[in-house]
Amino acid sequence: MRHKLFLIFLVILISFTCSKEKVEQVIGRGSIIFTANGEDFIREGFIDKNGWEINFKYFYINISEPTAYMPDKEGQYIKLGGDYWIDFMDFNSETGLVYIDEITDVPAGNYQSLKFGIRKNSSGLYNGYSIVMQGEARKERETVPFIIMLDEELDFDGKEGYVGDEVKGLLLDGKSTAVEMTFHVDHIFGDIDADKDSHVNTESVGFDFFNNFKIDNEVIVTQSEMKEQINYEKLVNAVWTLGHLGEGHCEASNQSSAGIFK
Amino acid sequence: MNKYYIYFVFLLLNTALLFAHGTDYEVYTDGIVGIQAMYDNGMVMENSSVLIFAPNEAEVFLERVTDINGFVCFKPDRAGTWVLQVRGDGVHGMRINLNVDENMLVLDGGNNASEYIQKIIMAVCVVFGLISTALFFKSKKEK
Repeated sequence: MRHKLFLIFLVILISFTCSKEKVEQVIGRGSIIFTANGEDFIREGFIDKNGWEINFKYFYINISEPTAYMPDKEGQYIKLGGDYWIDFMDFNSETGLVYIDEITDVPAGNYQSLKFGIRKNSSGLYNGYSIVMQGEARKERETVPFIIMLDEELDFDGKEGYVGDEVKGLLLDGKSTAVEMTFHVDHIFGDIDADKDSHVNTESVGFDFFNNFKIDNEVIVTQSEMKEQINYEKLVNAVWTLGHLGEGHCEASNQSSAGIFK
Repeated sequence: MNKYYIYFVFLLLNTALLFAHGTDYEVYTDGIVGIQAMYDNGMVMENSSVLIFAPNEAEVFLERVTDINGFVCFKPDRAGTWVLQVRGDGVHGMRINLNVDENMLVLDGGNNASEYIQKIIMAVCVVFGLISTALFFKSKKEK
């Protein structure tokens, strides 16, 4: 009888302890720094899945209205207005990150989620393009300079948050926090160091795809010129997976090429 | 007497499971939080690095590796939102927020798992709970 009463008591205790309680909220104000990361693939170069050694001179991308937000609190977001034409090779030598902008005196909280658009640039040399990759590809004794210009537009939403060596987006009172848009260029070129069966290699086109457009030993090609090429759909699909938060996945939407593939 | 307490612990364990909200992790004993990490296709993230961050901390609190079933557990020592960052195949990862109350119990559900799977897990928990209860009273009767 004594044991039975003990059991009933503990079950009731567990029931009470499992009831919902409020978790302490972060209060105060601080600053959010928006950054972008091209990873070592862009910064240091790499060997693609076809054996091409890829080195970038410039890697431009036009990021539109990056917005850090709290996924569990509707309306709690911090947005940078306008477009930011950045070069991933213009990175901070200590952090490897590209500084975009900073907003001060914003409410503290967990801005773990980040959404951002990729839009066509509306001025300058690469007017009309959203992503421009310029560099050299080397294989055996061949060196191929390239300029690859894409005009794909889309939106990325990293609701799940940054995945990496630290927590990003957690803003405490009187502090600053960085949020990071990470671009995985290996999704386009593949990576010889990854498993052959890895989606990075099975779903990428590799430099061989772009090398098909070589004229006078250099590749200067736009997205519209690639549309009839085999594996064009694969290229576009790879572009739709470029955006991440660290290793955290971003959902893609509003893709400008959506609907053209059957 | 020992048998009595084994059945009791089993019952206790399953009672705790019934109160776990969500599907990509389970509270499988009082005060210790366990998760099962999965890819979108339902495959478990085995032998994956897991970085565990304490509430309001940007630096790593604990580093773990998932087992072959994608499970990893840790013991939270304070209330708040614990962040788990799981890195899978070296290419992708996932982040899980676990809201832990002052009793070191998880308050609400995780993400990335379907309602269908959640219902199956809950059903399994109920069945185990009933079996545990039956075994418990049977053992008492035998005495």
